[in-house]
Amino acid sequence: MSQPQGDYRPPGWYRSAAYHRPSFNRLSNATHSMDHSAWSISARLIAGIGLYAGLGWLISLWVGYRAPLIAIGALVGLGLAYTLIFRGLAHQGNAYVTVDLEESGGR
Amino acid sequence: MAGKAVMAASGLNCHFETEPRCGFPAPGAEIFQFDAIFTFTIGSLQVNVSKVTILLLLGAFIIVGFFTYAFRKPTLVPKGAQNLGEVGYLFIRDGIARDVIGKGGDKFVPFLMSFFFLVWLSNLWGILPGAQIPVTSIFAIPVAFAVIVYLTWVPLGIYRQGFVGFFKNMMFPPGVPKPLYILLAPIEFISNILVRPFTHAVRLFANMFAGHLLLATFQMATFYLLSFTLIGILGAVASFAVSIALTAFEALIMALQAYIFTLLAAVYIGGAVNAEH
Repeated sequence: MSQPQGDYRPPGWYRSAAYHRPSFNRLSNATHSMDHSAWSISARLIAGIGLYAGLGWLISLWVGYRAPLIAIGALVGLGLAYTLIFRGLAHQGNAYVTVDLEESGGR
Repeated sequence: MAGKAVMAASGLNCHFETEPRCGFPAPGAEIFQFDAIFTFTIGSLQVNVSKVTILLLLGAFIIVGFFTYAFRKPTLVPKGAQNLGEVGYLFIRDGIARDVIGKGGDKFVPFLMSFFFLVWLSNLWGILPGAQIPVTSIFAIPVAFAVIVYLTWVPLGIYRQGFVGFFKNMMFPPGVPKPLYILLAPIEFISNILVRPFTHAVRLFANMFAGHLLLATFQMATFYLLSFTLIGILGAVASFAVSIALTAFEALIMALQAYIFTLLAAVYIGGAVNAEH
Protein backbone atom coordinates (compact mmCIF):
# COMPACT_ATOMS: atom_id res chain seq x y z
CA MET A 1 0.00 0.00 0.00
CA SER A 2 1.65 3.18 -1.14
CA GLN A 3 0.67 6.39 0.57
CA PRO A 4 1.40 9.78 -0.93
CA GLN A 5 4.42 11.32 0.74
CA GLY A 6 4.54 14.67 2.50
CA ASP A 7 1.84 16.58 4.28
CA TYR A 8 -0.58 16.78 1.39
CA ARG A 9 -2.79 13.81 0.83
CA PRO A 10 -5.38 13.86 -1.90
CA PRO A 11 -8.87 13.30 -0.56
CA GLY A 12 -9.91 9.70 -0.29
CA TRP A 13 -6.38 8.29 -0.71
CA TYR A 14 -7.04 5.68 1.95
CA ARG A 15 -9.86 4.20 -0.06
CA SER A 16 -8.03 3.95 -3.33
CA ALA A 17 -5.24 2.24 -1.38
CA ALA A 18 -7.68 -0.21 0.14
CA TYR A 19 -8.87 -1.28 -3.28
CA HIS A 20 -5.42 -1.36 -4.78
CA ARG A 21 -4.28 -4.96 -4.85
CA PRO A 22 -1.28 -4.93 -7.16
CA SER A 23 -0.73 -8.64 -7.72
CA PHE A 24 -4.40 -9.46 -8.06
CA ASN A 25 -5.05 -6.60 -10.45
CA ARG A 26 -2.07 -7.46 -12.62
CA LEU A 27 -3.14 -11.07 -12.76
CA SER A 28 -6.67 -10.23 -13.76
CA ASN A 29 -5.60 -7.58 -16.25
CA ALA A 30 -3.64 -10.18 -18.14
CA THR A 31 -6.43 -12.71 -18.01
CA HIS A 32 -9.55 -10.59 -18.13
CA SER A 33 -10.32 -11.99 -21.52
CA MET A 34 -10.25 -15.52 -20.10
CA ASP A 35 -13.36 -17.54 -20.71
CA HIS A 36 -14.09 -18.00 -16.99
CA SER A 37 -14.51 -21.71 -17.46
CA ALA A 38 -15.36 -22.32 -13.82
CA TRP A 39 -18.65 -20.46 -14.21
CA SER A 40 -19.69 -22.37 -17.30
CA ILE A 41 -19.26 -25.83 -15.78
CA SER A 42 -22.94 -26.27 -14.92
CA ALA A 43 -24.13 -24.89 -18.26
CA ARG A 44 -21.76 -27.14 -20.19
CA LEU A 45 -22.80 -30.23 -18.24
CA ILE A 46 -26.49 -29.53 -18.79
CA ALA A 47 -25.97 -28.77 -22.48
CA GLY A 48 -23.70 -31.79 -23.08
CA ILE A 49 -25.87 -34.36 -21.37
CA GLY A 50 -29.12 -32.88 -22.69
CA LEU A 51 -27.94 -32.61 -26.28
CA TYR A 52 -26.46 -36.09 -26.63
CA ALA A 53 -29.14 -37.85 -24.60
CA GLY A 54 -31.63 -36.17 -26.93
CA LEU A 55 -29.62 -37.33 -29.92
CA GLY A 56 -29.56 -40.85 -28.49
CA TRP A 57 -33.32 -40.71 -28.10
CA LEU A 58 -33.78 -39.57 -31.70
CA ILE A 59 -31.55 -42.40 -32.96
CA SER A 60 -33.47 -44.84 -30.79
CA LEU A 61 -36.70 -43.71 -32.51
CA TRP A 62 -35.07 -44.22 -35.85
CA VAL A 63 -33.62 -47.72 -35.26
CA GLY A 64 -36.60 -48.92 -33.26
CA TYR A 65 -36.91 -47.90 -29.64
CA ARG A 66 -33.81 -48.97 -27.73
CA ALA A 67 -33.52 -47.32 -24.31
CA PRO A 68 -29.75 -47.96 -23.86
CA LEU A 69 -29.07 -45.52 -26.70
CA ILE A 70 -30.35 -42.69 -24.51
CA ALA A 71 -28.01 -43.73 -21.69
CA ILE A 72 -25.08 -44.05 -24.09
CA GLY A 73 -25.90 -40.63 -25.50
CA ALA A 74 -26.00 -39.13 -22.00
CA LEU A 75 -22.62 -40.69 -21.14
CA VAL A 76 -21.06 -39.48 -24.40
CA GLY A 77 -22.44 -36.00 -23.75
CA LEU A 78 -21.07 -36.09 -20.21
CA GLY A 79 -17.65 -37.10 -21.50
CA LEU A 80 -17.65 -34.35 -24.12
CA ALA A 81 -18.78 -31.78 -21.57
CA TYR A 82 -15.92 -32.85 -19.26
CA THR A 83 -13.50 -32.52 -22.18
CA LEU A 84 -14.69 -28.97 -22.74
CA ILE A 85 -14.50 -28.13 -19.04
CA PHE A 86 -11.00 -29.53 -18.51
CA ARG A 87 -9.65 -28.06 -21.74
CA GLY A 88 -11.11 -24.70 -20.82
CA LEU A 89 -9.69 -24.79 -17.30
CA ALA A 90 -6.30 -25.93 -18.56
CA HIS A 91 -6.29 -23.10 -21.09
CA GLN A 92 -7.20 -20.66 -18.33
CA GLY A 93 -4.57 -22.18 -16.01
CA ASN A 94 -1.87 -21.72 -18.64
CA ALA A 95 -2.74 -18.03 -18.79
CA TYR A 96 -2.16 -17.77 -15.03
CA VAL A 97 1.15 -19.63 -15.21
CA THR A 98 2.39 -17.33 -17.98
CA VAL A 99 1.58 -14.28 -15.89
CA ASP A 100 3.33 -15.74 -12.83
CA LEU A 101 6.49 -16.42 -14.82
CA GLU A 102 6.47 -12.94 -16.27
CA GLU A 103 6.08 -11.46 -12.82
CA SER A 104 8.88 -13.44 -11.20
CA GLY A 105 11.15 -12.77 -14.16
CA GLY A 106 10.61 -9.06 -13.88
CA ARG A 107 11.76 -8.92 -10.27
CA MET B 1 -52.65 -14.43 2.80
CA ALA B 2 -50.54 -17.51 2.37
CA GLY B 3 -49.29 -17.63 5.97
CA LYS B 4 -52.83 -17.47 7.23
CA ALA B 5 -53.83 -20.33 4.98
CA VAL B 6 -51.29 -22.57 6.67
CA MET B 7 -52.46 -21.52 10.11
CA ALA B 8 -56.09 -22.04 9.22
CA ALA B 9 -55.42 -25.49 7.83
CA SER B 10 -53.85 -26.66 11.05
CA GLY B 11 -55.60 -24.36 13.48
CA LEU B 12 -53.92 -21.49 15.27
CA ASN B 13 -53.71 -23.53 18.47
CA CYS B 14 -52.00 -26.40 16.82
CA HIS B 15 -48.98 -27.23 18.90
CA PHE B 16 -46.91 -30.28 19.62
CA GLU B 17 -48.68 -32.61 22.10
CA THR B 18 -51.87 -30.57 22.39
CA GLU B 19 -55.26 -32.12 22.01
CA PRO B 20 -56.55 -32.72 19.40
CA ARG B 21 -53.31 -33.97 17.88
CA CYS B 22 -52.09 -32.33 14.73
CA GLY B 23 -49.15 -32.85 12.45
CA PHE B 24 -46.39 -30.37 11.75
CA PRO B 25 -47.74 -27.78 9.33
CA ALA B 26 -44.67 -27.80 7.07
CA PRO B 27 -44.52 -24.73 4.88
CA GLY B 28 -44.51 -25.44 1.16
CA ALA B 29 -44.66 -23.57 -2.11
CA GLU B 30 -47.81 -21.76 -0.91
CA ILE B 31 -45.72 -19.36 1.18
CA PHE B 32 -44.48 -17.85 -2.08
CA GLN B 33 -47.98 -17.07 -3.34
CA PHE B 34 -49.52 -13.74 -2.51
CA ASP B 35 -52.98 -12.42 -3.12
CA ALA B 36 -53.37 -9.29 -5.19
CA ILE B 37 -53.71 -6.23 -3.00
CA PHE B 38 -55.30 -4.33 -5.85
CA THR B 39 -55.87 -4.93 -9.52
CA PHE B 40 -56.03 -2.63 -12.50
CA THR B 41 -56.34 -3.15 -16.21
CA ILE B 42 -54.40 -1.60 -19.05
CA GLY B 43 -56.39 -2.33 -22.21
CA SER B 44 -57.01 -6.06 -22.06
CA LEU B 45 -54.07 -6.69 -19.71
CA GLN B 46 -54.93 -7.30 -16.09
CA VAL B 47 -52.24 -6.25 -13.64
CA ASN B 48 -52.30 -7.75 -10.16
CA VAL B 49 -50.30 -5.80 -7.62
CA SER B 50 -49.24 -8.01 -4.71
CA LYS B 51 -46.85 -7.58 -1.80
CA VAL B 52 -44.00 -8.78 -4.01
CA THR B 53 -44.72 -6.18 -6.71
CA ILE B 54 -44.78 -3.44 -4.12
CA LEU B 55 -41.52 -4.61 -2.50
CA LEU B 56 -39.78 -4.78 -5.87
CA LEU B 57 -40.87 -1.27 -6.80
CA LEU B 58 -40.08 0.01 -3.32
CA GLY B 59 -36.60 -1.51 -3.59
CA ALA B 60 -35.95 0.21 -6.92
CA PHE B 61 -37.31 3.46 -5.49
CA ILE B 62 -35.09 3.25 -2.38
CA ILE B 63 -31.95 2.60 -4.43
CA VAL B 64 -32.62 5.41 -6.90
CA GLY B 65 -33.54 7.67 -3.99
CA PHE B 66 -30.47 6.83 -1.94
CA PHE B 67 -27.95 7.36 -4.72
CA THR B 68 -29.66 10.52 -5.92
CA TYR B 69 -29.51 11.81 -2.35
CA ALA B 70 -25.92 10.65 -1.82
CA PHE B 71 -24.58 12.38 -4.93
CA ARG B 72 -26.86 15.43 -4.94
CA LYS B 73 -23.99 17.79 -4.03
CA PRO B 74 -20.80 15.80 -4.49
CA THR B 75 -17.86 17.23 -2.59
CA LEU B 76 -14.19 16.41 -3.02
CA VAL B 77 -13.97 15.11 0.52
CA PRO B 78 -16.99 12.82 0.78
CA LYS B 79 -18.94 12.58 3.98
CA GLY B 80 -22.17 11.00 5.17
CA ALA B 81 -24.28 9.37 2.50
CA GLN B 82 -21.82 10.28 -0.25
CA ASN B 83 -19.11 8.36 1.58
CA LEU B 84 -21.28 5.24 1.66
CA GLY B 85 -22.33 5.72 -1.96
CA GLU B 86 -18.71 6.03 -3.06
CA VAL B 87 -17.70 2.86 -1.24
CA GLY B 88 -20.46 1.04 -3.12
CA TYR B 89 -19.41 2.61 -6.41
CA LEU B 90 -15.73 1.77 -5.91
CA PHE B 91 -16.59 -1.78 -4.91
CA ILE B 92 -18.42 -2.35 -8.19
CA ARG B 93 -15.95 -0.39 -10.32
CA ASP B 94 -12.71 -1.84 -8.96
CA GLY B 95 -13.96 -5.15 -7.61
CA ILE B 96 -16.11 -6.23 -10.54
CA ALA B 97 -16.04 -3.99 -13.64
CA ARG B 98 -12.27 -3.38 -13.92
CA ASP B 99 -11.28 -6.80 -12.64
CA VAL B 100 -13.54 -8.81 -14.90
CA ILE B 101 -14.18 -6.66 -17.98
CA GLY B 102 -10.82 -4.89 -17.80
CA LYS B 103 -10.21 -1.97 -20.13
CA GLY B 104 -13.53 -0.38 -21.00
CA GLY B 105 -15.18 -1.85 -17.93
CA ASP B 106 -15.95 1.59 -16.53
CA LYS B 107 -18.69 2.06 -19.11
CA PHE B 108 -20.65 -0.80 -17.55
CA VAL B 109 -20.36 0.36 -13.93
CA PRO B 110 -23.83 1.99 -13.88
CA PHE B 111 -25.39 -1.16 -15.32
CA LEU B 112 -23.60 -3.49 -12.89
CA MET B 113 -24.13 -1.21 -9.93
CA SER B 114 -27.89 -0.95 -10.55
CA PHE B 115 -28.05 -4.71 -10.74
CA PHE B 116 -25.97 -5.35 -7.64
CA PHE B 117 -27.95 -3.05 -5.38
CA LEU B 118 -31.35 -3.98 -6.79
CA VAL B 119 -30.67 -7.70 -6.44
CA TRP B 120 -29.16 -7.25 -3.00
CA LEU B 121 -32.12 -5.28 -1.69
CA SER B 122 -34.57 -7.63 -3.40
CA ASN B 123 -32.87 -10.49 -1.56
CA LEU B 124 -32.64 -8.59 1.68
CA TRP B 125 -36.43 -8.15 1.84
CA GLY B 126 -36.44 -11.77 2.98
CA ILE B 127 -35.05 -10.93 6.41
CA LEU B 128 -36.35 -7.39 6.85
CA PRO B 129 -39.21 -7.40 9.38
CA GLY B 130 -42.55 -6.68 7.77
CA ALA B 131 -41.42 -7.64 4.29
CA GLN B 132 -40.04 -11.13 4.98
CA ILE B 133 -40.19 -12.40 1.43
CA PRO B 134 -37.11 -12.26 -0.80
CA VAL B 135 -38.52 -10.81 -4.01
CA THR B 136 -36.00 -12.85 -6.03
CA SER B 137 -37.50 -16.11 -4.75
CA ILE B 138 -40.38 -15.54 -7.20
CA PHE B 139 -38.92 -17.14 -10.32
CA ALA B 140 -40.24 -14.54 -12.77
CA ILE B 141 -38.11 -11.82 -11.22
CA PRO B 142 -34.64 -13.40 -11.53
CA VAL B 143 -35.71 -14.50 -15.02
CA ALA B 144 -36.49 -10.89 -15.90
CA PHE B 145 -33.10 -9.81 -14.52
CA ALA B 146 -31.27 -12.56 -16.44
CA VAL B 147 -33.12 -11.65 -19.65
CA ILE B 148 -32.00 -8.04 -19.32
CA VAL B 149 -28.38 -9.20 -18.95
CA TYR B 150 -28.81 -11.61 -21.87
CA LEU B 151 -30.24 -8.91 -24.11
CA THR B 152 -27.23 -6.79 -23.20
CA TRP B 153 -24.33 -9.14 -23.85
CA VAL B 154 -25.61 -10.92 -26.98
CA PRO B 155 -26.16 -7.77 -29.11
CA LEU B 156 -22.97 -6.30 -27.61
CA GLY B 157 -20.96 -9.35 -28.63
CA ILE B 158 -22.41 -9.33 -32.14
CA TYR B 159 -21.67 -5.60 -32.40
CA ARG B 160 -18.07 -5.93 -31.16
CA GLN B 161 -17.01 -9.20 -32.80
CA GLY B 162 -19.27 -9.27 -35.82
CA PHE B 163 -22.05 -11.80 -36.31
CA VAL B 164 -19.78 -14.58 -37.59
CA GLY B 165 -16.93 -13.76 -35.23
CA PHE B 166 -19.20 -13.78 -32.19
CA PHE B 167 -20.52 -17.26 -32.85
CA LYS B 168 -17.13 -18.52 -34.02
CA ASN B 169 -15.40 -17.39 -30.83
CA MET B 170 -18.20 -18.84 -28.76
CA MET B 171 -18.45 -22.23 -30.45
CA PHE B 172 -14.78 -23.02 -31.07
CA PRO B 173 -12.86 -22.82 -27.79
CA PRO B 174 -9.08 -23.04 -28.20
CA GLY B 175 -7.01 -26.03 -27.14
CA VAL B 176 -9.23 -28.77 -28.56
CA PRO B 177 -8.28 -31.18 -31.37
CA LYS B 178 -9.96 -30.02 -34.57
CA PRO B 179 -12.09 -33.13 -35.32
CA LEU B 180 -13.66 -32.90 -31.87
CA TYR B 181 -15.21 -29.54 -32.80
CA ILE B 182 -17.94 -31.38 -34.70
CA LEU B 183 -19.10 -32.82 -31.38
CA LEU B 184 -18.16 -29.95 -29.10
CA ALA B 185 -19.39 -26.90 -31.03
CA PRO B 186 -23.12 -27.77 -30.56
CA ILE B 187 -22.54 -28.15 -26.80
CA GLU B 188 -20.85 -24.76 -26.63
CA PHE B 189 -23.64 -23.15 -28.63
CA ILE B 190 -26.40 -24.60 -26.45
CA SER B 191 -24.56 -23.96 -23.19
CA ASN B 192 -23.87 -20.32 -24.05
CA ILE B 193 -27.02 -19.28 -25.87
CA LEU B 194 -29.72 -21.37 -24.21
CA VAL B 195 -28.50 -22.73 -20.87
CA ARG B 196 -26.48 -19.73 -19.71
CA PRO B 197 -29.39 -17.32 -19.09
CA PHE B 198 -31.29 -20.19 -17.46
CA THR B 199 -28.50 -21.05 -15.00
CA HIS B 200 -27.93 -17.35 -14.38
CA ALA B 201 -31.54 -16.95 -13.22
CA VAL B 202 -31.75 -20.30 -11.41
CA ARG B 203 -28.60 -19.66 -9.34
CA LEU B 204 -30.22 -16.63 -7.76
CA PHE B 205 -33.75 -18.00 -7.58
CA ALA B 206 -32.88 -21.38 -6.07
CA ASN B 207 -30.70 -19.90 -3.34
CA MET B 208 -33.35 -17.42 -2.30
CA PHE B 209 -36.20 -19.91 -2.57
CA ALA B 210 -34.42 -22.55 -0.49
CA GLY B 211 -33.23 -20.01 2.06
CA HIS B 212 -36.71 -18.61 2.58
CA LEU B 213 -38.20 -22.08 2.88
CA LEU B 214 -35.56 -23.03 5.45
CA LEU B 215 -36.24 -19.95 7.56
CA ALA B 216 -39.99 -20.53 7.33
CA THR B 217 -39.61 -24.18 8.37
CA PHE B 218 -37.62 -23.42 11.49
CA GLN B 219 -39.86 -20.54 12.51
CA MET B 220 -42.92 -22.68 11.97
CA ALA B 221 -41.26 -25.43 14.02
CA THR B 222 -40.63 -22.97 16.85
CA PHE B 223 -44.32 -22.12 16.91
CA TYR B 224 -45.42 -25.72 16.55
CA LEU B 225 -43.15 -27.19 19.24
CA LEU B 226 -44.01 -24.53 21.79
CA SER B 227 -46.04 -26.38 24.42
CA PHE B 228 -45.80 -27.07 28.13
CA THR B 229 -43.77 -30.23 27.90
CA LEU B 230 -40.04 -30.55 28.38
CA ILE B 231 -39.36 -31.80 24.89
CA GLY B 232 -41.66 -29.17 23.41
CA ILE B 233 -39.89 -26.29 25.16
CA LEU B 234 -36.41 -27.68 24.38
CA GLY B 235 -37.40 -28.19 20.77
CA ALA B 236 -38.89 -24.72 20.46
CA VAL B 237 -35.79 -23.09 21.98
CA ALA B 238 -33.44 -25.08 19.74
CA SER B 239 -35.56 -24.33 16.70
CA PHE B 240 -35.64 -20.64 17.54
CA ALA B 241 -31.86 -20.55 17.98
CA VAL B 242 -31.39 -22.26 14.63
CA SER B 243 -33.74 -19.82 12.94
CA ILE B 244 -31.72 -16.90 14.34
CA ALA B 245 -28.46 -18.47 13.15
CA LEU B 246 -29.99 -19.17 9.73
CA THR B 247 -31.12 -15.55 9.48
CA ALA B 248 -27.51 -14.44 9.90
CA PHE B 249 -26.44 -17.07 7.39
CA GLU B 250 -29.11 -15.88 4.94
CA ALA B 251 -27.88 -12.29 5.30
CA LEU B 252 -24.51 -13.54 4.06
CA ILE B 253 -26.02 -15.59 1.23
CA MET B 254 -28.14 -12.64 0.10
CA ALA B 255 -25.10 -10.39 -0.32
CA LEU B 256 -23.12 -13.23 -1.89
CA GLN B 257 -25.80 -14.08 -4.44
CA ALA B 258 -26.18 -10.44 -5.43
CA TYR B 259 -22.40 -10.32 -5.90
CA ILE B 260 -22.37 -13.54 -7.93
CA PHE B 261 -25.25 -12.37 -10.12
CA THR B 262 -23.44 -9.12 -10.86
CA LEU B 263 -20.10 -10.87 -11.32
CA LEU B 264 -21.64 -13.25 -13.86
CA ALA B 265 -23.26 -10.34 -15.70
CA ALA B 266 -19.79 -8.79 -15.86
CA VAL B 267 -18.22 -12.08 -17.01
CA TYR B 268 -20.76 -12.36 -19.85
CA ILE B 269 -20.29 -8.74 -20.88
CA GLY B 270 -16.51 -9.14 -20.61
CA GLY B 271 -16.64 -12.20 -22.85
CA ALA B 272 -18.70 -10.27 -25.40
CA VAL B 273 -16.49 -7.18 -25.34
CA ASN B 274 -13.08 -8.86 -25.31
CA ALA B 275 -12.83 -11.26 -28.23
CA GLU B 276 -10.53 -14.03 -27.12
CA HIS B 277 -8.48 -14.63 -30.20
